[in-house]
Amino acid sequence: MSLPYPSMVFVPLDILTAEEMNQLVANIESLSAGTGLADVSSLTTDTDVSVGSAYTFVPISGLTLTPTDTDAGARLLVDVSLALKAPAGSNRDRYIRVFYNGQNYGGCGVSSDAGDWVCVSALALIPYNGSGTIEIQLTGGTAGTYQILSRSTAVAFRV
Amino acid sequence: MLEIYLNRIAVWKPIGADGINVRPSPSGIAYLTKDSLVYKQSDGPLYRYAKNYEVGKGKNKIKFSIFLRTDRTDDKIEAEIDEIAKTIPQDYIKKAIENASFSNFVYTDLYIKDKEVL
Repeated sequence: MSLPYPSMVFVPLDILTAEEMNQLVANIESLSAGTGLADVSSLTTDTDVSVGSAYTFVPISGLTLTPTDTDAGARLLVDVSLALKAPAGSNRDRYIRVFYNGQNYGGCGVSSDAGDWVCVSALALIPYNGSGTIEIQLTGGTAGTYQILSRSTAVAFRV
Repeated sequence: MLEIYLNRIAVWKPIGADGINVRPSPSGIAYLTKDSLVYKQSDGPLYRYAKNYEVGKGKNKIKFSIFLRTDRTDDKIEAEIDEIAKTIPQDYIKKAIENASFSNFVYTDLYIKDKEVL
């Protein structure tokens, strides 16, 4: 996103000219008109992963985002995080990954002792082609029951 | 001290952009000068120059800005400010930054050269 008048800087005792005030208004109007974040701020998220539920990971597709942005070539920055409770068992590695069109664009892995709460988060920059969903997958090495303590709403920003 | 002094160096917290930042003010602004405490009124735009600097190293590093208003428009101003920034004591800058807010700043006793001197 770029404002029509970026990098406006003021210091004490500055007196705004009418032109500068109009530039500030233009910046505000560009935000409210949705030329920036508003394009993709209304993403849809499913609720497959619910807070407080026990969850079996072998592997599981968790969240999907359906961007409302139809601009092919837009770059979307996707952010999501989860707090999990590790299961018993020998393999407690868990991963969160962000996929688009079958390609992994980033993620994070954690390993913890059984019963520990851990946080995994993913931040991915995706070259969006104007259609399709972004899938956030939660995967692990072996079967086990993870409990979801909380999760952030998965969001995508146009950058 | 909210008066506008012509060519007087002020210390403030860092501004939002690195590099020299210049913006004109409307004409008709009342200002004081180094040699006179009688207000004058600008008959043309005054230009506000501002730039970020750093002093100290490691944990003692302080980022701050210098700004001033002048009727000069020559290209020597930035180099002149750069030289003046090196002469301001670090303790002075530290106190200025601690007291800085959106409206508070500290005038130094330093001035850039008057337009007539150049």
